[in-house]
Amino acid sequence: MVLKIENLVKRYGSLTALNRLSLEVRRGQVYGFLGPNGAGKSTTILSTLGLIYPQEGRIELFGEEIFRQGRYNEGKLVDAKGKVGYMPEHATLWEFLTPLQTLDILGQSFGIPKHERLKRARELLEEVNLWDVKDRKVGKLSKGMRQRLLLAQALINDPELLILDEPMTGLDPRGIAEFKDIIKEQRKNGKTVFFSSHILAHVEEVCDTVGVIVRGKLRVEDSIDNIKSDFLRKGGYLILLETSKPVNFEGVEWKIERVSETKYKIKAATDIREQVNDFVWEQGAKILQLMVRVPSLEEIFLRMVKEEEGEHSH
Amino acid sequence: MMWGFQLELKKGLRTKKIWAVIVILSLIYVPFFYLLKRSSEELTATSVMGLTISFVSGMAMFFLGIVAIVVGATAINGEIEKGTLRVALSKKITRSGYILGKFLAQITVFGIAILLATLVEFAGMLYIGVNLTGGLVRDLLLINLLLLVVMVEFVAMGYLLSTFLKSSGTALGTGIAVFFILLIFVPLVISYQAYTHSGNMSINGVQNLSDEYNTKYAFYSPMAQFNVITGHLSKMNPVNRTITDSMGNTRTYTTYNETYQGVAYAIRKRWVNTVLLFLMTAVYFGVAMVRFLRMDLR
Repeated sequence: MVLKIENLVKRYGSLTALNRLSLEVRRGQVYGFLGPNGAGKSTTILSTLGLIYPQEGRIELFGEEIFRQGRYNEGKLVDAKGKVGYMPEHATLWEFLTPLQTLDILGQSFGIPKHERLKRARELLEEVNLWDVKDRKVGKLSKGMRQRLLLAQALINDPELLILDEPMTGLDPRGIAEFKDIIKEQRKNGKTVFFSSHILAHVEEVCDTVGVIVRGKLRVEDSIDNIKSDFLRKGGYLILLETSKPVNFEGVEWKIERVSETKYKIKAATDIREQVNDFVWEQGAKILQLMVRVPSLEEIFLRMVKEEEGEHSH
Repeated sequence: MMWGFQLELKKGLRTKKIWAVIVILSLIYVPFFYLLKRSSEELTATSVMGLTISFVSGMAMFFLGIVAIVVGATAINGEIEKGTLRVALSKKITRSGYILGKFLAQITVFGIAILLATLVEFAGMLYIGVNLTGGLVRDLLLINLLLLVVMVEFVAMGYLLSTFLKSSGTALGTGIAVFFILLIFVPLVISYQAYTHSGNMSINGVQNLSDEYNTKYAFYSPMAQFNVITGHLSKMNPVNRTITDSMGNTRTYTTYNETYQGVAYAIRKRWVNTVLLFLMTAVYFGVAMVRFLRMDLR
């Protein structure tokens, strides 16, 4: 297990940002951390890096307990940080440094020898297409370039775990494509990636596992396929049926709407295909249309948020 | 610690504001030494030294003092706002190492700035034709070292603001307000109190009372402690004089001969205030560090 969070609680005054949050990230996973604004995504990430102090809970990084009940184990945290790369949201880098100097000085913090640092810096700057501006001051780079430099600095120590907080914000389509390639490359090399995003389509494309956090609680943690099929089972079927017999399906949730004398529109809350098939055989009915709606992750996510907010208001 | 030091040193040496202040400061010294040269025929080397010390320390105190408190007041919260602190502390470094390295680098930058100002002072002294004896060189170095200690206390005070006030803008404003309160308001109150309680004291008595009040009630102010110390650069020796008026009446009165004693003498004499400068720096920075070690960096 690369990252394990158990019952993490973080309160800012009267606001509970993390409400007994637990999650697990396994080696080699690309984990998409989704949630609406203020759900607690950044708070979770900052806790993992020892940048904020939760009140309760436990955090393990690379099998070492770095945090327990309001206290960080500084030695273990620093060791663990040696294997982590972090790209923050809404951050700038030191404007008086150039991209090459930035990577050089940040590489120094890991104790990487000078010649290796410069070699690595060159590779990364080429990878994020910043080699041509390696000697330009960060303050004079465009927003997209700065974002790419933020990604490059997160990779300077060739991390085992790459933590990215809303990484695609500010990137142009080309930058997004390059970014996705880097994530895929990391996955190919057996690295673990944990990233938060509100651009769900991007998460869907590069992540194998998704965790959805709403109001500081993890609502779902599963593979994208499982989440989709779960939601599929909950109501993605629409059937147009022609029959003169009374329609009835047992053991499943469904809704019926009479379209004409012999035509019925059936919406099912669960997978109803088997029952419809039986009815067609037994009653001689005719299926005019069968639609299986595959929800996008975005729809699923929004539904979860809506459900959570509904529960909360009750 | 070394990593934070190197980063901050690079930043400090490349920050134009600090160097702009040094240039302004040096430019202010030029007319001072020019005027001093014009009147230097009537001045002795030690009196030139006394005047130089009081002028340059006053100027440096004002200009560098503001820069020091501003640099300190935005040191932590400014980095949190920009996000650079999150990047730095996500690397393989500790919080304590980072803040210590940063603080030491800022001290180094101020040290370099004061060293440059000292060189300008030496040049000025040579320009007006003062024979730079070992004693004078030592005094000029010592007073600038004392100035550095004052600047470090201002930086530490700024760190305290920076760790307790989330907005760098608010901390900046508060820092400047604190600086002017310490520059104007506190000395006024202390002087007033010393004056009202002095009765018929001699000049030395009033000075002692003022020193006592500054030590007791302005222990938190680096400026007050510096002024107490530099107030003893010269010794006031009472000289009783007797005059006989035209009516043949004889009257005795006391005048004071000012003898320049030097910076080392002043530091020795007011060692309590020298210790206070170091002690309060440790207190301000210590509290800021404890706060930084436990604060949420978001």
